[in-house]
Amino acid sequence: MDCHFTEKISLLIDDELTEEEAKEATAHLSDCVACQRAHDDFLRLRGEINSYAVASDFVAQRRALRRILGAEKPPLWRRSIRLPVPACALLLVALISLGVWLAFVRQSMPVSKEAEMKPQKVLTRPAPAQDLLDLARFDRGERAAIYKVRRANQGDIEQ
Amino acid sequence: MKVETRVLIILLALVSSLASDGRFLSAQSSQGTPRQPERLRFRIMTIEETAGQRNVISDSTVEGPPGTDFNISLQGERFKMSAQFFTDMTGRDSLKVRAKLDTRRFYGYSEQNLPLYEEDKQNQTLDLGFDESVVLLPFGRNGGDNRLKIEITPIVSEKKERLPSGKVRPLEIDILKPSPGGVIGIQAWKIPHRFVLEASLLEDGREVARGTAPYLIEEPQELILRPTEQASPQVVSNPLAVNLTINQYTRSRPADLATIDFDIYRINPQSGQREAIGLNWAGIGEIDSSMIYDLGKVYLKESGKKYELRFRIKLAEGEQAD
Repeated sequence: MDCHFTEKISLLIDDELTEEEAKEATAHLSDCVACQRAHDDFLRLRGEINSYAVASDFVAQRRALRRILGAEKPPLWRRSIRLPVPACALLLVALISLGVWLAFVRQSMPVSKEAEMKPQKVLTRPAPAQDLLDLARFDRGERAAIYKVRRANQGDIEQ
Repeated sequence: MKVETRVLIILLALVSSLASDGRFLSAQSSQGTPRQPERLRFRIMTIEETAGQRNVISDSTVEGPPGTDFNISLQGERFKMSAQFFTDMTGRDSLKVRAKLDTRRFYGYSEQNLPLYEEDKQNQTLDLGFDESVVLLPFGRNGGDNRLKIEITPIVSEKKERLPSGKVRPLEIDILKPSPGGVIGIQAWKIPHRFVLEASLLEDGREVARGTAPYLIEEPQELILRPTEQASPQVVSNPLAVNLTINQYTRSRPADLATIDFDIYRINPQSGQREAIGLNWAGIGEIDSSMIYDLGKVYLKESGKKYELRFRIKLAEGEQAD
């Protein structure tokens, strides 16, 4: 909508122009293609809003309006974010600093240390199976037994 | 008496008191009942024996006042064991250790593909000195070259019963060497062990027979109810006995609870033989309160009188509720 008359077209549809202004707008409308398109769009929009007007609930009306207007949202790749210049500059400085620091750390790290780091990754794996006590190797299906022994001899003198 | 003599007597008294390590003042009490240690420690070592070689798998200690109980659990993929140990001091240098062993071994699968287990329960009582240890072999005595053994050794602890703040020192479990993969677990607790059971036979609400006996937790014991002077000839000729076990002691509010199970017998006055009139009776009740059972259907039914059995369980002297 790049014609300065478009707003008046909207007012014309809403019947809010004086008689003189209305005549002028109608004359312009017959010549201007942009305003004709805008006129059609306004009429379609009004028609859609009227079709949702059945719901008396204010919240429902708002929701319906949002749905209608939502259809006109630009696609994601055409949207933009507004960011204040200082914040943008700060973000940029932070990113550059991070990049420089990473490059510095990589260069200063000796090769041997990198090699040392590899086994540490291995340590984070679950404990190997042989660390668990395998009770099955003691089990021959016998009944448990309990008895006392004299401690001085440590030789299990059963009593 | 001269001043020099008095000073000499006081000095002698002081020296003898020091030489006796402070026992001078408490000589009478120590002669009457031997002083028991304030704290006991049980060292629990799991050892793998391979061709005479001992390899300590886990090592831990449980420490608490006399009467501390503990449980050793073994949890493998196919074998589980729970060994409960109830300990009581029976003298200055002796302990009574009651062990309850429960084992569960995976056996295989049924035709319906359900798991089958082999379960075993054992109860054993050991009188133990402080120069002795308990040996527990979860997989039996004949383990071949490889044998798993749990040694439990009682030690008198140097620690005092109370903390410097005056509070009772809590139980302590120290894991000196944890078992690989947490296969062996140890729990410890302290509950009262010694109780006094009072049993009464009531005839239309009147006590006509009674008996009292000390009881130890988890130990079945017979109690004979002796007829009182108010007993009728029928009651005198049909005395009762109960074989009762205090199974469990539960900390609770407003009062702690005791769980009992018992059998009731009628005693033949001539032969002394017991005739069971009630088997597998059980109940739970608050300490120091009455637990009443109706005997109407099992005792002197034809008399037309109402007979009830009343139990009251009290803590023995020296035991604390909480």
